[in-house]
Amino acid sequence: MSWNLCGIELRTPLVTASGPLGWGEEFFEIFSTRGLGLFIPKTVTYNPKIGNPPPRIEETIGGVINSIGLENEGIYKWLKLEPLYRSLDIPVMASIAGSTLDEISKLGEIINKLDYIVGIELNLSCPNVKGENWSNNPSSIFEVTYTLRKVYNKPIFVKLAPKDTPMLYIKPAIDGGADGLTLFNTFPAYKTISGGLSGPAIRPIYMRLFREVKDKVDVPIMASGGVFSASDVLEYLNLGANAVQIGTAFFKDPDIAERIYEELESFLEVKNRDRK
Amino acid sequence: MPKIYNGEIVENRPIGGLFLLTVSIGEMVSVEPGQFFLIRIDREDIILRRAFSIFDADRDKLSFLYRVVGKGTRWLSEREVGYKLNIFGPLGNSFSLDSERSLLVGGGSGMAPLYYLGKSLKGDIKFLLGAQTGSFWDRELLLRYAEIGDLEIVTEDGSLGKRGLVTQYIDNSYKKIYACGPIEMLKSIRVDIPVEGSLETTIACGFGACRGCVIETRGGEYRRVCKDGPVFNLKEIF
Repeated sequence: MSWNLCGIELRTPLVTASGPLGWGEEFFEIFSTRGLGLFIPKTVTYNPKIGNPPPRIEETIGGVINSIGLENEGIYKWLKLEPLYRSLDIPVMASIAGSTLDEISKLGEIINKLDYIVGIELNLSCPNVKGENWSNNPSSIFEVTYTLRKVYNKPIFVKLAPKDTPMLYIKPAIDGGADGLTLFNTFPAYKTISGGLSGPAIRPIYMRLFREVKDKVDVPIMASGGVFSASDVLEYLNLGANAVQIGTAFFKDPDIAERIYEELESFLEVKNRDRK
Repeated sequence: MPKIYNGEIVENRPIGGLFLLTVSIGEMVSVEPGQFFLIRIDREDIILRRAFSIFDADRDKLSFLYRVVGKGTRWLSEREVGYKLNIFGPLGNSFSLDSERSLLVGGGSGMAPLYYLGKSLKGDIKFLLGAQTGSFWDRELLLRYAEIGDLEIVTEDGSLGKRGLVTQYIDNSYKKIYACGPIEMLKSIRVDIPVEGSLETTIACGFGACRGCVIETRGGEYRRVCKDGPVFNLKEIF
């Protein structure tokens, strides 16, 4: 069985959500790509970013609030990860964010030259960075996506924030040239820190949003939000997701992709057999 | 290299104000003093693993000394012998073992990593352990520490040992201080000799990837407690 995202062949529908596993150096030193179909490293920006002051993590009931603030060393250091990304036996999609259209354009031009990167996930929705959340404004979503489209030839997935009227934000991304969507980023929340909430606590909300938009959108969608088990994956796939991202669950089980895939495989096999 | 183990609890019992957990992981593992393991809490509402520094390691057995502080450690304290714990590690850096005359300062449950450290250090060692009150320690536990080094104890209420805070009893006659305990204790260690301290924060990934556990150094840089630490030269931090 294989899965396809705008021409990108995935051996499994499981994708790493950008963030929890960093850029992969530490993770792939300990764990393999088993179970995974696509790796999306943590977001990179044009210039280095030191990130938010600690504390950056707070646990809630069934969830985690994070406020990392896009810490990263900038695109030029990121390019040094090439040997790692080439060595993986799964495709790698870059995740980018920017604070100006010029930065987005420059990132797109640089990544466009990289044959080992299969596409870009445009992170418009990090809830932890002041003044850069384009996701709140439909005309900005169009403008940023269109800026990247002009310089980038491979698939663009736009990652949006969860909104009560999701089509209002999805339409400008598609009009701007997005080939696919990642729905959705973490949910803005506050406990002792202010940040993005992820984990099982948000899943029912995200499934409702997902169900609402799926029939109105004809581009591939990566679903994201509270995926912790094979049945969560199946629920999103049954709702029409083309692939499913796993993020916070890696904190509980660093080998979660492998665990879920094994379970998924036996389920999908049974389903195929029953069909015959 | 860290690994996920399916460890079987062979001991998990109260010992004074703490709990002593021993897990058999079925194979030999090499652990350095100061390193930690992440234990999965098998409850759907708890996402993050809990981090415990190694108290003792003997062939295929790992021991942890912990205090019940919230629902995660409460859950752990209720697990019985035979329960299979999902345990990930060893993680983080370790204490350096180059000192020949060392003072090991532990506040409360911060005493935990000092035992394995004390067993690994060469030369003279002295434990300086503090707690709010004497009933925090079990006699059996204090004797284990006393077997491998000199032991001085301090209680805030004066019910056992000297009265006050451990930091009042630190002297400069050692080559190095190793410390673990509450952040206020670590901050108030002001000496001219080198101080290595083990820090504690909320840990998410545990292997340096997510950048969730950073602390700010004196120089304004962010360092990852799980990967660059948990052991730091405290003079770079406070």
